[in-house]
Amino acid sequence: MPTRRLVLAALILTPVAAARGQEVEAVQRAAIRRAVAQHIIPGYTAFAEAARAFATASEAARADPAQAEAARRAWVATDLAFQRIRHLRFGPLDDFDRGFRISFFPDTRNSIGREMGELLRAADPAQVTPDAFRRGRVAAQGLPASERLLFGDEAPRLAAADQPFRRVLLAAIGTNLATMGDDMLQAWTRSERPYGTLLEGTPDGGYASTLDGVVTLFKNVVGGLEFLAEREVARVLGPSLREAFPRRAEAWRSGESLALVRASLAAQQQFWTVTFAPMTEAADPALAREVADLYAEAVAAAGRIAPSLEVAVTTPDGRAAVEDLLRPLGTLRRLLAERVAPAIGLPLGFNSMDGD
Amino acid sequence: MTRIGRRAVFGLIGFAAAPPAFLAAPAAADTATLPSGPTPGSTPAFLSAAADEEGRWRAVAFGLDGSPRFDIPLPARGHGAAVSPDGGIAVLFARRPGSYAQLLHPTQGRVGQMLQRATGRWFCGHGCFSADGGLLYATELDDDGEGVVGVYSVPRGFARIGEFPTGGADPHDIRLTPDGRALWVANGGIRTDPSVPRTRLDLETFESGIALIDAASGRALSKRALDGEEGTLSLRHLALDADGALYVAMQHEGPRFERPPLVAATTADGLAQLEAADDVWRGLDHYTGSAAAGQGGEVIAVTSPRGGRGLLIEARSRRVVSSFAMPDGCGVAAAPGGFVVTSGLGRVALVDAGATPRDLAAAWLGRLRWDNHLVGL
Repeated sequence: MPTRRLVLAALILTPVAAARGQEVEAVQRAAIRRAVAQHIIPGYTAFAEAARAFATASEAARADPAQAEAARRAWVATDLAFQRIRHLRFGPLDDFDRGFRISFFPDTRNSIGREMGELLRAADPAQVTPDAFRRGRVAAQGLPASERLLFGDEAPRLAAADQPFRRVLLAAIGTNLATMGDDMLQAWTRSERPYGTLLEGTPDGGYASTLDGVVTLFKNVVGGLEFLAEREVARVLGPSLREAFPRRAEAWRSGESLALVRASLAAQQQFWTVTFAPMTEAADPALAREVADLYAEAVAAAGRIAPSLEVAVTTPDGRAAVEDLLRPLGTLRRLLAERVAPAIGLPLGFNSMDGD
Repeated sequence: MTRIGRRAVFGLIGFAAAPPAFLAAPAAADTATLPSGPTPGSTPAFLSAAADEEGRWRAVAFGLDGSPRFDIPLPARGHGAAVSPDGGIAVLFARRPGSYAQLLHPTQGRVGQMLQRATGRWFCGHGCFSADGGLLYATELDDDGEGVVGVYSVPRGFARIGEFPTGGADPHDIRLTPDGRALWVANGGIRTDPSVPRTRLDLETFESGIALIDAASGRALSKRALDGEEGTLSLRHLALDADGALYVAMQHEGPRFERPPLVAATTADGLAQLEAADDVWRGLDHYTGSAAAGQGGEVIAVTSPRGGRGLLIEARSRRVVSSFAMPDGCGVAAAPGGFVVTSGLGRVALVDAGATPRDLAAAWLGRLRWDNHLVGL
């Protein structure tokens, strides 16, 4: 009898379960497609365009040091554009260590200074080609290295007649960034197996199912917030006023640190809004509102930090404003791990997402 | 401890806290829905913090046979627990920065008193009892982010009778040495501010280590750290093997392209990372969440919820002898024949010497999300 009952149950349940499975898969596929079309490809397109413009401007500055100001403007635009994708630490940005090569941050051991010193001393053009950069000198080939050339203490030497290799390195970094930007965009937009298709699950790709793809996107929502809060903001703030570290800010040389934080936060908010907000809204509207409100609170708090991140962390009022940014970012991460992931059916536990 | 001792401790609590903590009415509304369990003590039992399907925080205990023992609500997310030497009292600590420590009767599941954090102090999620069960030690954070061990007198109704420094920031796990004379404390080293919860304020120059502290006087006996690992490894969870060697499970906060060993063990006078193939550490994804010694102390288990893996380490050789897969697996405690391991995805499995997880056959266990730590009752 039990056997017959089981068979009967299976006959009834299987089509229902299968239909439910297809429904879930469709919801997940739609989320991936929204993320790719509305967030990922526009972001990678913007970065590739900005990096190409920086390559052109840095090449112009190589030929004519008087063009350095235009290169500085292009550098700022490129770093801001990078904030639109830097939280997407999987696939094209992860392949070939591109994430580290574009932005080696935080650099806790002065690898950038050391590697730049080696390149400048050798003054060997063969060491700064995109091919050579693919093989090594991870720290000296991206945005922070070029920021030092353009904005650092030694920036005036960029124009020095006896320092031509500084300009060669700058132009090489520009070319390198443009190459990586184009290669990544290509990976997302090629006609043959674009990366977004892989995310939806393929038999032979890195993602077995739409669920794997959605889980990867969700991990990057959480990981992006953690990186922003702890690496870009909290390590500058430090545990106390006495221990504030303005020079740990990501872009203190160019004075762009706060702009980068705001750009990154805006990008992550948009990533959430197009990708997971609809899924959460369907599962638990109140929870979706709570998350949306926290993103908005963080954006507003970032808007109140003044005049710069570097200065704000050195005054009591400024620190309070920075803490006002960190609080919603912390609450967001907790909420995503503890409530949102289970609400939208993602097998992501709070032990791995918010451990202790 | 003898049965007389157990009764003595228990009796003293009863006298000290009126009405007697464990004689008060149980949380009937929350336990009434559970099917009646077996006779307490007939099967090994385990306690963990958890979240239910509605996301409410719980303290839940179950038997190795999958039987429910108790399930009570907690005011906020819990973390680790300490069980008195005679098994008569369990204390479940709030996750850091924590405000409470909940006393529980391990077999009857009755709710005892709830300890509130002292002014300017926050619980860090771990604690342990003294050898005679008369004192409870809890790792706590002070206003400046520095670590203290809060000392609570069991016979005086868990009154907080003092504290002593841990000699570092971010204290976390704590273990009593086998001779009962000293405490090992892991100072994670990562500074936080309770007013900005869950945000680590210094991931660059933090100094993490283990401190040996005299359990009676609070005097610092020694400190050990891993040379050259400042700002990269946070030493957080502890387990003691049969010989009293301390195993330390760590988290890596350095550059992501580096993958250092995440387990260390004490040597005669120092601390050394275990050696294993790079793939072993790669599989842990920079993070370990819990550690436990098996019965007999010959095998140490370390779990990595991020890596979805657990390692089994042979204490004698200090070698990783096997590993098992469990996504989000973190809670781990000794059990006959191996370890019970729990996950935030609802799994509760017995991992035997062959490192094969076998799920406990009880559907209700799967409806809970099991938090970081599991302890045997």
